[in-house]
This record gives sequence, structure tokens and C-alpha cells, in this order.
Amino acid sequence: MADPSEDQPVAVVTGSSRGLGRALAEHFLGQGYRVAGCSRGDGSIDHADYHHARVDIGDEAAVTGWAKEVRRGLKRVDVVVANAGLARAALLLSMTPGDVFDDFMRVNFAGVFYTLREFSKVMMRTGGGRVIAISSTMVPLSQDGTGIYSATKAGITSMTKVLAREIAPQGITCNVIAPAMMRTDASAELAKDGDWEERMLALQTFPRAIDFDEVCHAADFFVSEKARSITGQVVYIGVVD
Amino acid sequence: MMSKEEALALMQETLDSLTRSGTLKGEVKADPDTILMGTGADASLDSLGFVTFIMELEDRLSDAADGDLAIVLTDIDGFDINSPILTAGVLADHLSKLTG
Repeated sequence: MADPSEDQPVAVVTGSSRGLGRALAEHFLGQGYRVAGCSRGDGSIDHADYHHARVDIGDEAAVTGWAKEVRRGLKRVDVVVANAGLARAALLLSMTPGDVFDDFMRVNFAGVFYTLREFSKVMMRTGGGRVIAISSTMVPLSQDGTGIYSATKAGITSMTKVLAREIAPQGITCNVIAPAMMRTDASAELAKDGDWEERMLALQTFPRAIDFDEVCHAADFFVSEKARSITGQVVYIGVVD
Repeated sequence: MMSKEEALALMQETLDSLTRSGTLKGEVKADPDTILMGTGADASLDSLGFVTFIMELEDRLSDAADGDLAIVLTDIDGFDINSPILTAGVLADHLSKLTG
């Protein structure tokens, strides 16, 4: 007899131990999903339907192995949110060391690529799903010191749009949510740099920190049945592109 | 180590299973010259069929080998990423090597 929990939808959220990823994971749990989350460290969510894995998403083999575990253990993937990424102290491009560039490319770009590649394959096999990639309003704002970070986020947007075309025939939509500044551990670190937060907020159309639930609401929209034909789109939150 | 014939048989089992489940529209024979992945009408599987076939095959291969094995296209001798054509025979040779 099939396990009745196999009818329960599954959401995959990367970077789910804190910040936006944790909020998204808890949000999907609240919506009745089983959630497979990952981070480099231990999980921080205690819920019967939450399944945590220690995964460095910049490690191709680790992501491939995790996707297999999820597919075999939970049998399906309905939603994947590629959220995990680095946000580090800003440096002018001319001052950015090569290893910082490499870190950003490995985690923010390659990590999202591995996540989307592996979990979209699971969705293709099970016949439908929703892909959401988290980008940033730093892409259209082109601010000093965000050259590498913004480049990875712009790359994520382009990659997601191409994937949207490639897997649309399988009934899978792929969209991007690009929030403006949120108060996270990473932004708190950046805010130690004098007036960083004030400068960031001054760039936004709504000059306030974006709440996690605003991002969750956008995710709900993309996941909804009524958004089944909406794909390859970018929703900016807090900024006019 | 899996022989080439055993690898072709495993591929045939996988293809038959996908046909029975409706993932593949018609029967596909795992003959050495069968083009599984290609750029034109010669290919026996469409993109969805190929991805599903590889995933299913990995599962069966891992079960048979009692270990977690992954099929990485760029690791296959004779597969050119710039001219991506993969025959069942070339894949069978790779599976033999992978399980060796």
C-alpha cells in the first residue's frame, strides 16, 4: 500500500536554516507541504514534515546526492526554491580578490545551477512543478561594490528564463523573485559598515526593509494553480526596475 | 563488472519500464546502434524521455551495483558535448567501465 504522505506535496528550499530560506521553509510547512531543506550546517526547524540535509550547494556531487535522497525518500518535488547564496561585504570591482569572485560564482551561480538542474529533473519525471529562484534588486540598481554579487544574480535570472522555456512542455514554470534589502544575518553584517543600510534603503522605491512574508506571498502566487501559465518572469519587491 | 550485453539488457529493461508507464510513447530497442540522444529525427528519445531514462537507469544501475552510481555524459568516452549523439552501444561500454 502506498504511503498516504506521498500525496502530500514537497517543497525544496536551499539555505533553509536561517533568514529568508528559513521563513520560506516554515511558510511551506504551514501550507501543508513536506519540506526538504538544506544548509551547510545543522537545520534549525523542528517540524515532523521538515527534512534537513547538510549540503554545500556549491558542491556538485553533494547537490546531486541530496536530490537523489529527496527523490527516493519523499518520492516527489512540487516546488523548488533556489534561495541559498552569499552576500558579503561590498568591495569595488577593482579591489575584489579572485577568491572572493570564485566563492560567489561557486555558491551563488553554480550552486543555483546544480539545484535547478537536479530538482527540475525530478519534476520532469513526476510531471510538473514550480521553480522559483531568488535574485536581488541589486541587479537593476548596479550599485558600487556589488559587481560580482549582482553579476551572479543577473546570471540566475537569465538561467531561470532559459530553463523556463526548456521545461515548459513538462508543465513546469520557472520564475524569479528579486527582493530589495531584507534584514538578515548577512545584511546585519553589511550594516556594520557605517551607513550601509541607510544608503541601500535610499535606493529603493519603498525605502524600508522588505519583510520575509512579502517574499512568501510572491512565492504563493507563483506556486498557485492560477499562475500555471506564468513563467520566465521576474518580480521585484521594493524597487521599480 | 557488468558486461556490455548485461548493460544493454539493463537499458532494455529500463526502456520497457518507461514504455509501460507511458513515459515513452512507443517501444525503443536498446541495440548498440540505437541513437538514444541526438540532434535530429534519428534520436529515439525526446529530451524528457532521455532525462527520465538516465535517472531510471541510474537507479537500476545503483541497485545492481549495490552502490550509488551516477551517469555523467561528459565522462563517456566517445561522447562529444559539441556534437551530442549517444548510442546505446557507447552508453553500454560506459556502464561496463562504471561498474568495473
